Amino acid sequence: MASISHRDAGFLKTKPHSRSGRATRAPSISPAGIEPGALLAAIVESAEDAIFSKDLNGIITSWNKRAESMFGYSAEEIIGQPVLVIIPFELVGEELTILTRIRNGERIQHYETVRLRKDGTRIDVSLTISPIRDRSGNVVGSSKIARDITQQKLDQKERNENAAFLETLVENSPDCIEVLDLDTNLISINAGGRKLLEIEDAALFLRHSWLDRWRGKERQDAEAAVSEAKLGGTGRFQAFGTTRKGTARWWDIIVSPLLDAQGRPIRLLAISRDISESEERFRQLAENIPQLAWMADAHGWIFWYNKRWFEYTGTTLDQVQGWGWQVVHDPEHLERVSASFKSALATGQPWEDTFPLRGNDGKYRWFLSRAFPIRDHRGHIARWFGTNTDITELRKVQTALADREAVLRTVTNDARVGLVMVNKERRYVFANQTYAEILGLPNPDIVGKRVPDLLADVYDQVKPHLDRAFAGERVSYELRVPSQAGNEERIYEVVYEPRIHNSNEPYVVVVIVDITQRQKAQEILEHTVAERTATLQQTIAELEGMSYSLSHDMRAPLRTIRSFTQIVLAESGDALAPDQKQMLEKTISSAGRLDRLIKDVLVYSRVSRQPVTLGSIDVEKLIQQIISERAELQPPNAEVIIQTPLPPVHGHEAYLTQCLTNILDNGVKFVRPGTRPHIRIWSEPTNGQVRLWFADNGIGIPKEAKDRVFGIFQRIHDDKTYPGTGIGLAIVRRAAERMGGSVGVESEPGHGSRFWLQLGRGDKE
Amino acid sequence: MTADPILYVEDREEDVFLLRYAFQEAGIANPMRVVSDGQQAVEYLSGEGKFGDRTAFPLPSLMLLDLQLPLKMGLEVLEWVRQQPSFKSLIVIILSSSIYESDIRRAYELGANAFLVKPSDSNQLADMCQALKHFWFVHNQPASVHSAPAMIASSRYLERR
Repeated sequence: MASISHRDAGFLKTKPHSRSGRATRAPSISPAGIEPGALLAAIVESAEDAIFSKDLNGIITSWNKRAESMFGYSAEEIIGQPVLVIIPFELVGEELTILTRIRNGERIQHYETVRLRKDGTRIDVSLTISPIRDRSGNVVGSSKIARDITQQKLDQKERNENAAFLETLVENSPDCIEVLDLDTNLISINAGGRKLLEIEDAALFLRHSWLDRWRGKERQDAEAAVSEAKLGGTGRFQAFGTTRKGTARWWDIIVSPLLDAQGRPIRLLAISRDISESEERFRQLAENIPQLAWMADAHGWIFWYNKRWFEYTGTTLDQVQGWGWQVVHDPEHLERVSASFKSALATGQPWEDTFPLRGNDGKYRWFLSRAFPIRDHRGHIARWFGTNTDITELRKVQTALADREAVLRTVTNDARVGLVMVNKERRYVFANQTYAEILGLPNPDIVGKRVPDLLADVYDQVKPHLDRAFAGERVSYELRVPSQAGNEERIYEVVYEPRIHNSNEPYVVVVIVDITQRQKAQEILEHTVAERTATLQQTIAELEGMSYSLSHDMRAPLRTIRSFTQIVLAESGDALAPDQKQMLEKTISSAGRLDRLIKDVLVYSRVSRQPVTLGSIDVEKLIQQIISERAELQPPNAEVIIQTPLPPVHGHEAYLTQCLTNILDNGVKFVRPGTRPHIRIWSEPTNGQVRLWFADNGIGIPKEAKDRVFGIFQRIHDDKTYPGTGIGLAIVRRAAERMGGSVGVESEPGHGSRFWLQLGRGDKE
Repeated sequence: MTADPILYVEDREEDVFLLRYAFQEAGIANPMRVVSDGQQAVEYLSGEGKFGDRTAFPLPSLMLLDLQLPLKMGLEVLEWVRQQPSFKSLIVIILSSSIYESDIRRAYELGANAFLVKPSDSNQLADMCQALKHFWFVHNQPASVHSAPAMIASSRYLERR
């Protein structure tokens, strides 16, 4: 099936059937000295391309092995056949053109076309057609090398499809995808980018520097990202920028290189993602936290503060951005704060510090400030987020607490009170120094030791009380430590306060005070009190003796004076002159008055002093009885009307009689001459008590004298008009008070007086 | 036959005078024997010493007893009297200027028949003696044998009236 003659360059003339294909393949490894024609034939036979030849009439004259497998025709089948059998019908014209060009001695290279296989399928081929010339140089035929480019075609198609796919992808991406040259001039921008940047005519941007879009700090970030990309890496930053139409957006930007075959950057790709929404959400969050908040870039350059910051400090972003915040710092703390913040920036560790910040009002408040780094996808710090929490009040509380703790510590250690805490195992878990001191313990370091060991001598005294305390009872007792060598007995007041510990472990707080001295002082005091009481009682006894002699020894001579004068006067007859008799009568009345005075003072002192037993008294009956015994309270001398019934009162009969008698006597005594005394008595309930009213038609009491009338020896009238000792109402008040009651008067001069006596309610019958 | 005397135990002469005067005013005819201290009162009743002669010092039908007395206080005398079986029913009337409740209560507890406060007015004293006479010598029925003569005395007085 060999289609080519191996022997010489003129193999195309050789009849192909002279040699078998197999035979041609066998000598492919020819020893040296093999003739050149055979070597050529071997090469042709083993070529990867189909190689065949045809004469000027288009008749196939040779056909190699690859041509057999490519077109499905064996050499025997095809040699002698016109080449048209492998040309699709519609391409026949093409072959004619090729033949014409060959005849003209033209060589055709890499001509891509389609040919037919024996089975009718088509095959993409690339043809290289060369004219074959005879020795004289006349074109006698042509050789064709056909390469199967079906695969190549498929690859190309796929490539084209991929490109279209990618283009669609890029076009439809919501991100802004821009291709830049190495000078960052814009080469292309996708639809998403045009939309995000709100560009209607992209041409306006083309050939313009992408970097120029950024200002200030963002410009620095952009340049850094570009530099990184040019070095083959990926630059990333977040930035704030406005669109063509002025819409504010937050961008997350990645700049990466497009590399050539040698890995050198030839273009830059800038992908900008609109993160305004998430940034906005973040900022909103930061706006709404109760603290002051701020954000800094990786270098600590603060580019954003929340509203609270501005409200508190009264500053503007221009003043405090970057490192401008130092203006609201207390110079005393600034250096330290800056150092600690810079240290955090350098190490990337979260930062915390406490310092004062000056408020809008010029006053400093204390803030706990924290900042933590926010890292990008590669773990690099993208920015810092910081807060300042006002802890002025907290500090105040803490300071107050610390002060109080210091005071407590001082108190517990300095006070002469032993203070310990004992746990369930009867071990000391806390002890102040005083405890050991007042108990005379040799070593004050007792925490961890057991009570039974430390107080072995008195533990039998202590134990039952301590047990009760651990049962939840508050215990208070006196601990006596018997006298030991050189020491006298000591007495302690001990209090056990049961408590539940945080960890639910019960413990008892023990407070112990050395009361030995106090006890001694108490004894001395009691002794003194006893002595003084005795003295007092003696004095009282003496006073009583004096009262007794007042009533007896002083009244006796008075009685004599009076009675003797009366007898002298009665028996004098005409022996005495009228003025002499008058003098004797004066003597008698004076002596009588003095006697009454003495009696009243005695009554008053007795009412003041004597123990009194109270009971229920029928006051109505008592008043009636008093009236019936005293003519001056009865018609025609006077009229006393009781508005019955009067409820029983709680009192003492003798005292109540004193009260009622004195009030009624006053009522009938203090009237204008010629007026018939009239007293009306009624009762009214008052606060669970009974108030008895006595309204008279007397002369009344001037306002300024109202309070005085109940004082002893207080008289508001001269003795001639209204004689009296000035003790009567004092006795009433004292008696009322002794009965747990009270007395008072309402009066207007000229309109009578309304005395009232208020006492507890008696038993109802 | 003379009526049994009334024994008046009183150290103040003025009061003795006033009571004698008032007795007269009130028409009490019983003789008044006066001793001026508590000790003498006891001696009189027991017939000791100078009081040994019962004719000169007959037992009284009634004793008026002051409280403030030299040597032996009135209440001591009263206590002694009630301890003597023969004087358990002797009428003892306290005549004192004391208005002390404790004195009054103690006197009754010790067996006083009455407690009279000396009036500071001679007319009142006379009235009191009048009342005394009516109550004790007219209306009262004494228990003791020694009181019988007193009744006679009083009835004599009544007859005389």
